[in-house]
Amino acid sequence: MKMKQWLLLVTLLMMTVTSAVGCSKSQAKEEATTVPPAPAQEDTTPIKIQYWHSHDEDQTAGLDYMIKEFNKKYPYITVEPVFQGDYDELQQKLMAAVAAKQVPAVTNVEVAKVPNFSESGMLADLSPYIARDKMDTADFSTGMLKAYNYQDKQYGLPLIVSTSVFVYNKTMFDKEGVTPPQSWDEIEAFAQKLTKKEGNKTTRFAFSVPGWSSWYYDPWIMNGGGSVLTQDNMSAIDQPDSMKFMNKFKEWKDKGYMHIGYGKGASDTMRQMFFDGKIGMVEHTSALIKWYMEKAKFEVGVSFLPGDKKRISQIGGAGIAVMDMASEKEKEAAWKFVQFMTAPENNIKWAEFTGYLPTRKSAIESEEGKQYFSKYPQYKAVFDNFDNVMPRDQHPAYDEVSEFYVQALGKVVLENADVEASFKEAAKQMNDVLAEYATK
Amino acid sequence: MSTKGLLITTRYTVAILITLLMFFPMYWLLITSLKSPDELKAAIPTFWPERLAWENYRDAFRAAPFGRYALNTLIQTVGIVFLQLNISLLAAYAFAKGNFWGRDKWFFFVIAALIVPDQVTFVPVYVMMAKLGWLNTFLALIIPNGVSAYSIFLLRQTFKSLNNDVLEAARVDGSNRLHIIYRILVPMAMPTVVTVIILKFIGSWNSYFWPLIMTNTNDMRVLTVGIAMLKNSVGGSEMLNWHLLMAGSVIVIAPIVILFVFAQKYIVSAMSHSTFK
Amino acid sequence: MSGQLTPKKRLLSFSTLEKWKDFSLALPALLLLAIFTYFPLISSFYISLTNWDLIKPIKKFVGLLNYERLLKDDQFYRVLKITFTYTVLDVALSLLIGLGMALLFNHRSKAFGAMRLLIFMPYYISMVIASMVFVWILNPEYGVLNKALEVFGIDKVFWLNDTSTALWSVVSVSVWKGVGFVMIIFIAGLRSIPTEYYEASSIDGASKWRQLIHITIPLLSPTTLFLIITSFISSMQVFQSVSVMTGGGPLGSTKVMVMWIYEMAFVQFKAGKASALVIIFFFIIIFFTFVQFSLSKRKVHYEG
Repeated sequence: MKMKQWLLLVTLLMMTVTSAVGCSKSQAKEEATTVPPAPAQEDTTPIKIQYWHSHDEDQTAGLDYMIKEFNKKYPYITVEPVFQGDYDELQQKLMAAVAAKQVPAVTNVEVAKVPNFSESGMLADLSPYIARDKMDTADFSTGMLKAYNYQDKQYGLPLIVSTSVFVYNKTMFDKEGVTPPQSWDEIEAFAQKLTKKEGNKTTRFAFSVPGWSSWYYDPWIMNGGGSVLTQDNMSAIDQPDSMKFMNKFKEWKDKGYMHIGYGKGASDTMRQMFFDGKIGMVEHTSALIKWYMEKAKFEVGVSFLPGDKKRISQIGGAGIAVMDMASEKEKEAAWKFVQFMTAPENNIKWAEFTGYLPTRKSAIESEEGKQYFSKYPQYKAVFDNFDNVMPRDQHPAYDEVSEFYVQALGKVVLENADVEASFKEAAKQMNDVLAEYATK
Repeated sequence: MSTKGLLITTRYTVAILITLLMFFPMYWLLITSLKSPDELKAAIPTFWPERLAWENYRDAFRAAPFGRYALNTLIQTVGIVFLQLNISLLAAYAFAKGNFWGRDKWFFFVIAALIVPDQVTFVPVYVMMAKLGWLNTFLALIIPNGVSAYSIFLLRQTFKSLNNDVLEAARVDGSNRLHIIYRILVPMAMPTVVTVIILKFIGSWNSYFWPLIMTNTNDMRVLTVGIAMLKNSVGGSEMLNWHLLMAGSVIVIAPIVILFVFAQKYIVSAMSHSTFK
Repeated sequence: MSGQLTPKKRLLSFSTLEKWKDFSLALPALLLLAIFTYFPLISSFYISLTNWDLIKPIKKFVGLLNYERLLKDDQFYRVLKITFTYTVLDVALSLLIGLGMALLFNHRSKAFGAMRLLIFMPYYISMVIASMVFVWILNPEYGVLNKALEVFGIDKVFWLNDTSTALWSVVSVSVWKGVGFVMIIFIAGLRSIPTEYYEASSIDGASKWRQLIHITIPLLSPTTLFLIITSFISSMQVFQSVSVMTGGGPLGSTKVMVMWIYEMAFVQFKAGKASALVIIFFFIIIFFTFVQFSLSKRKVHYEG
């Protein structure tokens, strides 16, 4: 009897707790697709929105400037920028925020995460806003815009765009009488001339390609004529054309021409070796061109990646997007902020601040744009190939499956494993995940 | 005599060598925080900075609001320690000296919680905090950490070992339970109480995962999260910013190290009582 | 109490009230545990039976599919093996070195007290910072360790980027940070061993070594058990040091269980599968903790 009484009490207490937690689950139905209201007359009641971002220390000055300018234009909108760590940490915070249904209005989204974020309904489709406000999207670089488009909906706009390029030690190249290779066939002669050895040990590598992220060799896969995924979304990584680059890498590495950094901290090592003249040319993100120019004690040149069957490079960096779960009012303010951040007027200034690429055709052709190129001629190598900068294959499981061929490459680099065997294994692992994904 | 002397000398030498080795990372942390960026890249590392670069600390403070972080950390830590200690004392009394239905079964319910890692519980708890509107407040940092199975366990073991006669006497005198716990048991179990406070203080001061998840804005971040953010922010495109990171790290650990160096003697003797007997 | 003369009925309700009062003291702790530990555990179990992606409000019930996929996945066994390797190395090294240091530093003098203080210090600092310091020391190009090895003609070692050294590097941080605590606890254990035992065996002519094997270690066994169980549980849950130092690499050679769970939930958007992993992991830890307890029941010497 007494036993039952307190049992009842405890149960009741537990129930109130669990129901308090569980109750709003049922309310969490998906809202109907958002149709932005007609541009009613400007609502100027003060509003505060949060902008979650991954802009590091070097970009803070630029961000502060932009927000200040934005405030001049829209005094009633307060934008609170919150740094949430690198792209992975930002993603984690966003997911937690969505789970809690308390989201920021605007956020960065790394380009590779667009399919995943879009598919899960995290981001708002901007297409209706673009149509309503007649934004001239044709002014954006086509590839860059496309990278933030998923299944014909525009889920974000390019904000900080980079692509991988070769940064080279021009002083060294001039002295040795070499120029950066433009095709894979030229690499042998180029590397032979530049590589320095003591016995069997290379003391100066001709070039280096980062092994730590697939972003740096996806273009090599494409240029060799291969691809990561097949048309029907299975792994294509073990096809001969896709493995061509790896066989080449192995050859160049075994000959002592090539350095491949792998793992955490490898980026620091590669950069330092480049500065110390131990590497002639490094593949890296264009976002760091300005940084290389400032830090190096020699003249720095930039060259587009060499080609084989094709000659392309891929888009990296992050875009700016609006969270779907934000209220209509917040979304409206957020959209204004997105427009401002990507507008042609501020495009060059923003690019100069951050070291990322301008995204607007009109901005590049403007007077300011011309000045920019005369100040940083190195960026010209990128823009001469503007149309060959492509978005990556879009697949929600891309991040996950790319991990497998990163590991396959790592096995070849670190443990001298057989190329074909490692890539076959990677393909199998990729297909397991992709199959699991398809049945989801 | 001479063999004994030799033995003692050897013991001292070995002990000093081990101590130096063990202390080296701490020393290196401090020394790096006072080096200039150029000195970090020196071909032969210097064991004492050529010039004490105090500006690293200024730069670290400029890069992140460490004052605010420290205040948040202190509030969080004191909050958790206070809440946990009191809840644990009450529960430990109930489980050690109390008399109620299924007491030991309930105690098992407490102990089993030791095995559940944070990573298991945080998603549902996070959602709960959001529903209550507690996210990004001290409530979310403190309340879910308000109970520690480990503290209850340690205190219960100690209470159990204390003689019942004193308690009976107090009960006959008409003292109520709170009086018995706080006036009689706590003084008798002081070493364990101190141990619980210390362990929780260290744990809460250094906790990272929970405050990382539960806070969203810069003015609610704690020291550990702040330093990790600093690492991402200055470590991103700049290389070898170790002088700044180490300066930030010194700011984070200085308060707790200083506090505990002074209290060391007490801590060691208290901790010695913390294993099960 | 029994001496009090009270009518039977009154005594009963009086003692019921007393029981309620006792229970109410345990209630805050029990409630908090129910809300913040057990409720989330149960809800994780529920999630593990669905294909929830952590974002969409829709959860589709998939039964045991997540469990089936995990148990068929080679990666699961690999991660489990790495986690166990890490745990065994961490616990064994901490305890062995800690015991050795306890024997060495168990000396009542000011100098030794000061040295113990320095050795214990890393215990206070956060794992994030400890890991960062080690990353800096182990830096292949500028780290002080490689510079020191260079003096002895040893070639550059890529501590954190080499599959043969990465796990050891992560273990070394944990040992460095925790060994002082182990030492202190062992010293306390040593000091509680009555000196008569040693005196008696000295008279019998036992060597120091034999004393260690036959007296010290057996009598320390309750302390050792305490340390093994607590450090086993925390080692199995290692996460922060791995995330700062290697991120699970190179080639997944340091990918431990919690790291994988975290990745699965937050990078791959598979909350259902991650929850299933959590539940499996939870039972693995319970199982081994239980095994340790029951194995030791027979072997531990408790003082009377």
